[in-house]
Amino acid sequence: MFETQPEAKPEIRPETRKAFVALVDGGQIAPADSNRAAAIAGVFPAGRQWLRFLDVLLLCLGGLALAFSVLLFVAFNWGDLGRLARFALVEGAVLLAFVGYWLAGRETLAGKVALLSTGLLLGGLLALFGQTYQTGADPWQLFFVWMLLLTPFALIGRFAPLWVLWAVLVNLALTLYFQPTGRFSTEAYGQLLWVQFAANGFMLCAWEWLAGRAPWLNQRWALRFLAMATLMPLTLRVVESVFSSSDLWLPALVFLLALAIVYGVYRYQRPDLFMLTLAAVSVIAIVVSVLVKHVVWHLDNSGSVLLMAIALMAMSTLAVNWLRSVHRGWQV
Amino acid sequence: MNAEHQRLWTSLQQQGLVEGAPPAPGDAGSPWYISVFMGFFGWLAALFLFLAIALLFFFDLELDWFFESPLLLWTIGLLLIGVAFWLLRSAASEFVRHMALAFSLAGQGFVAWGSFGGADAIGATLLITGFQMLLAVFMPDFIHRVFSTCVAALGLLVFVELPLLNVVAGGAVLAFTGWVWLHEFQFPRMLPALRAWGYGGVLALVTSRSEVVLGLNWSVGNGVLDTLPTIYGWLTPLLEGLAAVYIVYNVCQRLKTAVRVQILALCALTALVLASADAPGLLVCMMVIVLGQAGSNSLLKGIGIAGLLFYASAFYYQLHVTLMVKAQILLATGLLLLAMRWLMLRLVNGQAGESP
Repeated sequence: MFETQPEAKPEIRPETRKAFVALVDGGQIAPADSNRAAAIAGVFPAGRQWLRFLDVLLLCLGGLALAFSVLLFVAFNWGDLGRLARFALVEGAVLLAFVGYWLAGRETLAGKVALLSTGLLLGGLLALFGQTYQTGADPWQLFFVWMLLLTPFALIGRFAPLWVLWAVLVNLALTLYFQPTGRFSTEAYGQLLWVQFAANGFMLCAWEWLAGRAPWLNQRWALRFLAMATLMPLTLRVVESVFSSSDLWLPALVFLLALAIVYGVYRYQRPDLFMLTLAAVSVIAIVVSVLVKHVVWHLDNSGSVLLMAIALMAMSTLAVNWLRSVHRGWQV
Repeated sequence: MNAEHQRLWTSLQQQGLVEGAPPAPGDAGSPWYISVFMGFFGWLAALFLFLAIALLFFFDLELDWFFESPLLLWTIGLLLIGVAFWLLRSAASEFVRHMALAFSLAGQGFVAWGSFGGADAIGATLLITGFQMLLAVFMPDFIHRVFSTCVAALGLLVFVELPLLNVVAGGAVLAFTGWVWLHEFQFPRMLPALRAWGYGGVLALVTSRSEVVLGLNWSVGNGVLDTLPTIYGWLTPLLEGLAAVYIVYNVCQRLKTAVRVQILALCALTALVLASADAPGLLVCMMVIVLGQAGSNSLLKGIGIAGLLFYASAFYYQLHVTLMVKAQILLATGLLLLAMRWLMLRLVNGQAGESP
């Protein structure tokens, strides 16, 4: 049914495709041989790899469709259900998901996804509890309790997405604690940014330290997500200080310290170009805000805006040059 | 040469496809987020440059009549683009490339402004679309080509409302994008340009349907499409379906699949085309996923999957039926997809439900 390949190859890594593209680009492979070379390199997947791909795609899409059909069915009948029936439904779903984790096995992907579903459904259960009994609790408490209930699942699951969900809940609880009504006061906003920076920074440090001891935690995408969640509030705090002319020295000092740590760790200890790119973006954002505040607003003419354009080009060029040189150095 | 290059070189050498010593390591090539970083700041710098020139004429020189003259706007736009082209051709430093990108984007802004000032809306949009096509061919920069290709394709797919153009555009852009990705390695000299056109086409295809789905109106038209016979509504999905057949057929040829597999693929494609007539975006996103898988391109697959989930969600959300009916449709969809999976595995393995 499919052309048989000499041997079944696993799906190639992105680096392999890049290496192949570099060879073709450099003229090392004759155009007439390029397709054959691509097949040998694994860039063109064989029949079995296509089969595996279609298998996973149909399974995921089919599973998603079924899951949402159940959700919509429940949503349709929600109004007609009594209090006990609603709780039974949601608690039943939680139990079912957990049983699915138990049966599938803790080390399998299906088991871990089932445990993640359990964690998500816990949030639904808490929301139902709050809605039904109108306890008067603040919104942040829902996410805080959810985070607490999720903790044992995250500990036994050993699954990075569960811990990312846990981190998201921490941030949601903090955001709602500092401004429950959704409209930020300046002081509360400033405090929130500091607390988010500290909380996410602590989680990032802990995760990096543990990743060396637990391979399942060594997920770059999760660490990069946390790094974004750490640097963004700090950068916004510095920018806010620039524009509000409040005390800049503390945010600037903390920012410089964070920058030094990011550089030291991700340049030498745990090479990660994405983290260095994040740091570069933060620096540029702050310098741009300083220029806008002290140059553009003061000079108020086309020259100042032109200066901004040139400054942006210069800074981003410097950053890209440096990032590419670092990347080249790691490749050798 | 790093370990990956070495392993690849060795396996190709064993098959007689390359000879001699492996080449010296060239530019490592940047991860995608570096390109996004450059593109974003290039765009931002262009915005400031555009503002600076506008402020210069409006406030500093008090020549606001300048902006009423399409010829002058076109002149300054072409001048900036010309400078950008010259800078890019000199292939100098990263700073120069950045500056060139900013100059070109600012220049395109003036060209667009002049076009709308000098022609009717449809004429201006066609002019800009054609201009972007020229830029996609001639500007020697990857990010620039992706941007120009995307804008040109969107111009054909969405921005301009002309009967024949809109009917043909969908199939033509899909066929072109498919051809590019299926032949990306066969023209080494053009590889960087081909990939840029491929990404631009993909981005345009995946985003173009959001206009319909989100109930927006990006097009510049005169309402003539509303007066066309019903058959025009079917021509577009038909032509896109033909383009999809071209893509799937090429993949089957590459895999040297049996005829019955090709027939099965054609049946599945027909079902997808029919579904896509009511659910815009499904077919193009699925084809992007297929093209990504065909070339082991994770970025294409990611774009396709994100688009597929978006359009599928939008379709079900916007269905004017009760939640119960939506649940039933989703149930049927889920069971159908799982049945297809079971059938596929059974045909291949001869046993129900075993994964390969």
